[in-house]
Amino acid sequence: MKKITALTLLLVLLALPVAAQVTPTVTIPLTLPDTLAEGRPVAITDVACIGDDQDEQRANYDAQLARFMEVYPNVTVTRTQYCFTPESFAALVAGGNLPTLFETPATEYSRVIANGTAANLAPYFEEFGLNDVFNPTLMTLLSDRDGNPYGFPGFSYAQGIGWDIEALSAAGYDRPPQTWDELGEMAVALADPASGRAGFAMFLSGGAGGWHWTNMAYGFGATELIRDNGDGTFTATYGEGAAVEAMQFLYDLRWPDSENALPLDLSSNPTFETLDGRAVIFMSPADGSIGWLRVNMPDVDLRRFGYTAMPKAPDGKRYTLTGGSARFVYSGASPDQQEAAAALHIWRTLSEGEFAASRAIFHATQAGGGTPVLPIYAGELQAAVDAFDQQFITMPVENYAGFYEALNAGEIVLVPEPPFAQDFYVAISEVLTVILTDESADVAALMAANAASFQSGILDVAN
Amino acid sequence: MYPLTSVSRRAAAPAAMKTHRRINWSQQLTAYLFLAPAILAFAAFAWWPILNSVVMSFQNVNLVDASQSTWVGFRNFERMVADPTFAASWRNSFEFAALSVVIGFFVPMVVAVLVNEMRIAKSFFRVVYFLPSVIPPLIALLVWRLIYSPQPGGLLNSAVVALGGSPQQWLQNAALVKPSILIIMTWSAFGSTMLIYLATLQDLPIELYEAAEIDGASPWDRLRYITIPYLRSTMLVLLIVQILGLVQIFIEPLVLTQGGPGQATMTPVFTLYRKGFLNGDFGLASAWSVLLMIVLGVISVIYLRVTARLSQD
Repeated sequence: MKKITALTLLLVLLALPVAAQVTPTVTIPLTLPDTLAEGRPVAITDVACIGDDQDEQRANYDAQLARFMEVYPNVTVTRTQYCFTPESFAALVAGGNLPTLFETPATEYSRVIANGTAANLAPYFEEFGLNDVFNPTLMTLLSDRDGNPYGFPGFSYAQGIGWDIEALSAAGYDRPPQTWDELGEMAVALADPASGRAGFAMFLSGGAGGWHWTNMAYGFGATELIRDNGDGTFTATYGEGAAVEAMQFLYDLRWPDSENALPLDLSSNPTFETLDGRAVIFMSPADGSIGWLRVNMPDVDLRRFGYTAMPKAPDGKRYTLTGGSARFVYSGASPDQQEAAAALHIWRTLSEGEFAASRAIFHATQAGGGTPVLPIYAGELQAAVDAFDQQFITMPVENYAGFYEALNAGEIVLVPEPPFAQDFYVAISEVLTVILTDESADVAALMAANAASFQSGILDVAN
Repeated sequence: MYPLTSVSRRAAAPAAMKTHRRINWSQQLTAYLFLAPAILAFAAFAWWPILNSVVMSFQNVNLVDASQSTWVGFRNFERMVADPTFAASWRNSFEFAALSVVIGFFVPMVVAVLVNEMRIAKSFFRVVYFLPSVIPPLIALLVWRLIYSPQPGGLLNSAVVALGGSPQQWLQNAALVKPSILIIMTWSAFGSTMLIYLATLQDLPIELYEAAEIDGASPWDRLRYITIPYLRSTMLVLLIVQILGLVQIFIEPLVLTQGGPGQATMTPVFTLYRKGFLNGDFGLASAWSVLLMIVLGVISVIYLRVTARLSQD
C-alpha cells in the first residue's frame, strides 16, 4: 500500500504559486493500493459531462486518465461523454450499459442505492481511508440504512434566498429576511403591481413548484410531510399543521390585500424575474440562480445580487432540501472494475498531484467559483479545499456572507426528500395552482382533501 | 335542379373476383427474404418492446437485474386506476379532444376551401399555411411561450390590452390553458391537414360548381351542397386521426406546463413519462402504456373500419 499523507504536502506545494496566504495544512490517512485488481488487466469506463466547446477541459480530463493508467498500467480507462437525463439513464440501466463510474443528480441518490444500481463502496472507503473524509451530512444521503456508503459526493447545493441589493436597499431594508414572517412583510412592501414587480419570486408550478414549496414547508416547522410508518406503510401528514401554514403564507401573498406580492407568471423562473426587475427577493439554490448566471450569462453584473440561507424555522434552524451530484460505481461491474473505478475517483480528486487539476476541471465545468454551495468534505480538509479554491473565485462572495455565517453556525439543516417525492410534488402543485389563481380557495380544506386523496390514491396502494 | 342533392364520391367497386391460385412457394420465399430485414427490425425495435412492456406491466420491475423483477399480477393496474392523476389525465384527454372539434377541427377545412377558391397566389398561400408544419416543435413551443407570457407586456397580452382587455394568464389559468395549447396544436398541424383537404377538393369535378352556378346556387349553397358533402369522408378520417394524436399529447405539457397548472394539462403519455423516468416505477409506467395501447388500438380499429367502409362507397 502506498500511504499518501494526502494534502499536507499537496496543499503547501500547490499553494505556493497561487497565493501567499494559502498555507493550510491538513492530514488525512488516505491510502491507495500500489496495484489494483491484483495486477489483472481491467477495463473501466468513466463518465464525463464536458461541453462541446470545452476542448481544453476535455484534454485535461483525458490527460488525467492517461496519468492514472501510467500509475496503474493494468487498468484501461475510457472516457464516456454523457450528461445525465432521466430518459437516457433509465435506458443505460436497463441495457446494463452504465459506465463503471457514473454520476447522477441528487434526485436519483436514493433510487440508485435502493434498486441496486450503485455498488456498496464500504470496502473501498475502508481500504482507501475515506471514512472521515466526506461531509457526514451528505454521506447520510449517499448511504443505506445500515450506513454503507454508495457514492462519492461531488457537488451539493442548498436552497437559499437571493435578492436585488439595490432594490431592497431603496425600500429601506439593510438586510435580507431572516424569518418567514419578515420575508412576507418585505415581499408585500416591495411589490409594485403598477410596474409588474413582485416582492418575492419562487418556482410555483409543476414538480419544481412542489419541490420548492416543500423547502418552505420544512421552514414553517413541518417535520414530516409523509410519514414512513416503518412497516411498509406511509401516512400523508401534510393536510394539517405547518404544511398548511406554508401554503396559507403563499395564499396571503397573492390575495387579497397583498397586491400580488408574488409574480403573476406561476411558471416563471425566479432568477430571471429578479434579473429583469420583476421581483426583488427570490428563493432558489445558488448554483441554479447566481451560479448559472455566471456560467451562462457572464455579462450579468452579479454584484447586483445578494444570497443568504433560508429563513429560520421556528426552532431557529434553516431547513433545506439538497441538490447536486455524486459519483457512483456500477454494481454490474466486476469486483476488479469496481475497485479500479473507486480508486480512479479518489486518485483523481484527492491524490497528490491530481488535486489541482481536478479542482481546475471542476471549476471550469461547474457553477462559477465562489457560488455558495455546501461543503463536500469534512472539517479541516474542506477548509483546505476552500483555501485552495480561492484562486477560482469569480463571484462577489462578500455578498454571500449571510449564507456562510449560517453554514458555519450549523444553522443549515439538510432534510431528505419525502417518500414518493415526485408524486407528492405533482400533487402539491395542484393545491399551489388553485390557491394562487382562485381567491375563494379554502387553503386548509384543499390541503386536507389533497392529503386524503394522496393517501388513498398513492400511499395506500403502494405495496 | 334546385336544391342540389348531396354529392358523394362513389367509385364503382369492381366485383370481387374469387380466384384460387396455387401458391408458388419459391416465389414466396424470395419475397419473404426481401421482407426479412424490415420484419427483423420491426420485431427488435417495435414488437419486442411492446411485448416486453406488457410483461413489465405485471411486474415490480428491477431494471438493474431483470431476473429480480417480481410478478405482481394486476397490482400495477390497480395502482394506476387509484392514482388521482389517472382520472385527471384521461379527463384532460377527452377535454382536449372535445375542444379540438370546436377549435381546431374546422380551421384547416375552412382554410382549404378558401385557398381552393383563390384564383391567384394559390401556391403562395398553400406554402404560407404549410410553413408552421416545418418548424421544429420545440422551437415553436418556445416562441409560443413568449407569446403567452402572462406579463402585461407579453405579446398576446399587449394585444389584449391594446384592445381594451386585461392581461390573462394563458398557461397558468386552468380555464385557459387547454384552449391555449389547442391553438398551438392547431397552428402547428393545420397546414398539413389543409393540404389533404385541398388535394381532395382538387379532385372535385369543376363541372359540379359550374352546373350549380347555372342553377343559381350562391357560394354558401355551393359550399353546403357540394364542397362539404364531398369532404365528408376526408373529415371523418381526419377527425379520427386527430383524436389519435390528441390522446398522445406529450411535448406541449412537457415544454410549456409540466402538466400544470395543477393537473390541468396532465395527459396519459406525460403521466406515463413521469411514472417511468422521474419515479423510476417502470412496472406502473408499463401499465399506463398497456392501457394507452388498448385505447389507441380501439381508435385505430375504428379508423380502419371507417376507411374500409369509405373505400367501398
